[in-house]
Amino acid sequence: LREGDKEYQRRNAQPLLVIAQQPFQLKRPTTVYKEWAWPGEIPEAVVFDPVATVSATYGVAFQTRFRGNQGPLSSRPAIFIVDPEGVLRYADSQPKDIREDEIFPVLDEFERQRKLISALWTSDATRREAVRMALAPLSAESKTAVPVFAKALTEDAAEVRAGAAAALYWMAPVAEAAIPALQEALQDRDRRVRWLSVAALGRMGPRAPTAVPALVRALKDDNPGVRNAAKEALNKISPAAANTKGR
Amino acid sequence: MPAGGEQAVRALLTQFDKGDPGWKVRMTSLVALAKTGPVAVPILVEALKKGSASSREFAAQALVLFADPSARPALEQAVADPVAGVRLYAIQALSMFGPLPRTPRHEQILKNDTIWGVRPMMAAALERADRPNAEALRKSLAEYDLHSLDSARSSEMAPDFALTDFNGKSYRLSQFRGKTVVLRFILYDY
Repeated sequence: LREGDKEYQRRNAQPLLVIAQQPFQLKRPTTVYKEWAWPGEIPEAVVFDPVATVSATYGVAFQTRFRGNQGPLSSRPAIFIVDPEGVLRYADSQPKDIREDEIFPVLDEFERQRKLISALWTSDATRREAVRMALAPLSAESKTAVPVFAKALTEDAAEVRAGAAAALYWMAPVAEAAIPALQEALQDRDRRVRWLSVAALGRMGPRAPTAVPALVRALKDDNPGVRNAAKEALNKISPAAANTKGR
Repeated sequence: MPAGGEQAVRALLTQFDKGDPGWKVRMTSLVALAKTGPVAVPILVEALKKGSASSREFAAQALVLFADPSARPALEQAVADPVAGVRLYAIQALSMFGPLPRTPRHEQILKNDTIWGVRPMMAAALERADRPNAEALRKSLAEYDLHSLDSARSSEMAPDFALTDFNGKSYRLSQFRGKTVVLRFILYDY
């Protein structure tokens, strides 16, 4: 097994590498220079998307030109994490191809969030139902879980507050009602709570304009991770605010 | 052949007159052309010869889908186009007829093309060993449901798909339920 395969296996994860080209373009030609060879070992599942239909569905088709902007249009380098139930949980794009070793911290963070949310499972029926909704794909009823988590953001146990923030991050597309609670949470003692709350507001993007002042304050957070996340969030909500006030 | 096919193709091409109209228009146009069929070829050839830089590039890209012998002379010319994207797609379109012949011009591109990325494309085309299947490419595009375009959203079900690897082995996203799937799109910058 490749080192990378062991890392995936340890996390019960399956890599799928999609290349929006016809396979023949990737066969290493024999008349090549050494540098044309695949950078590093080839992970097992390299699949081809010859007319970019899957790339188009995932919103990455024909958006990058390589080689100094003079190459053909290629997919935007991006990574998506699909949870064991088939729900898309994370989407991120980068200017350059994402190296395999950069993926594992992302996977581990995703797993931490899932554990935090699952740990909120209690005897309380309302909260139990909210947790179920957070772990499921979003639906028309998902909104009803938002106030439950917003309230949990003020509980004494840091694990509960972090779980609530993670749940709101996952439910961000329907979690606008939690914006005031998330803003308050940017002053939480626990770094995870602050970081996840910032991320949740960032995922809401332009729908969370009222969070801008709180996020600008978060640019001065003690924790560098929170500061970076605040900058990213501001960029998504209001690029102007991020540029004038962020550094 | 849909009625008004030719006119529709012309209308579609005008979107590329003044530069890249964006990836969604490109995808939608490729899907439309795959549905239109060979009636589009002469119009694409004309655009490849006389169009703006971005029209020529799009025409070359679209001609990959047809492997139509009538487009061949224009594609042979286009491998010398000043725009690298046109050269790349023209080489790819020619490779749909099978491995490219080792003509002096092709060898010249392999060795000396000023844009580095064109050289491995030419190498791959000269050594193409699989069986090109333009019809299969057209079919996947023609069957593509444009409602799926840009439809993947966090916290919703990941759109399912099936794609094949080097050996033709199929991988379907949904076959990995129970595992976390890391779906990575790469540029593969040679």
